[in-house]
Amino acid sequence: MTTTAAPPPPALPQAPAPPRRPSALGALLLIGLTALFGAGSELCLKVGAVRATGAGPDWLPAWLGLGGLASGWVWGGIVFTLLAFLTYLRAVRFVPLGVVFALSNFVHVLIPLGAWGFLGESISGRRWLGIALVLAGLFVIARPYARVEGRL
Amino acid sequence: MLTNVLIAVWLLTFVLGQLLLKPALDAERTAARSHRGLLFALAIASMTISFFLGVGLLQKLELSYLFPFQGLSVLLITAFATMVLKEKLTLPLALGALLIAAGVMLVSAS
Repeated sequence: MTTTAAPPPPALPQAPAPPRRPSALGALLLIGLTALFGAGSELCLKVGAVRATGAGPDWLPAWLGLGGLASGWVWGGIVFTLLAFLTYLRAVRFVPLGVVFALSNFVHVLIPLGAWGFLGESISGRRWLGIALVLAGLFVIARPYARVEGRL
Repeated sequence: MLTNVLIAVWLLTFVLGQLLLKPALDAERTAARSHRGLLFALAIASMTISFFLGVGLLQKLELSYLFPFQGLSVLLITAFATMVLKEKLTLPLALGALLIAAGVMLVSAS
């Protein structure tokens, strides 16, 4: 008596591999970079917007802000905005929007510090208190999230 | 008056863009593939409007005055992400969002 081997089952179509998820630390790093690029963007845009005041055709309403494109600083701000956007896109794929957006508010700490350091704007005691509150909020959200999730 | 309206539109178009962006990019693939492209395009359009309104407002207002208004969006996005996107609202997230919003308001009021 001879036996014949059963034919191999037809290969099932392979499901696409799921996207690689970043570690909690990696996600926090991405969000930190988003805030850093975002602060750089706003500082550049402020310098450019002031220097380009009055630029652009007369028929264009000034409040549209398109006259700002006459300044290289505004274009620098656009580059920083794109970098911030790309890092944000990567983070928002894997982290809940509420969490990633809340943590990206680190930019509200970096902007007053940058405006103080680079633009000569002042930081009052009340503003320092606000910065401390934002930092406390970031800590309250990030600490348990990173500890519980491990890998996001 | 017009400045206040523009600040509100600047803020709301930003929030809308964020709410459209998440389902467009979500790794969990919550939205259909054909819808994801449309959602992404609408998100980009909404945020582009917000961006140029922001540049226009910066020509009239100090950066350290204007930008903290965007901090209010943390409360709006946390609330809408829970209601619309069905994300989990934890106590640390709610408390942290309130602290951040309060901090941002203090920064903007000073």
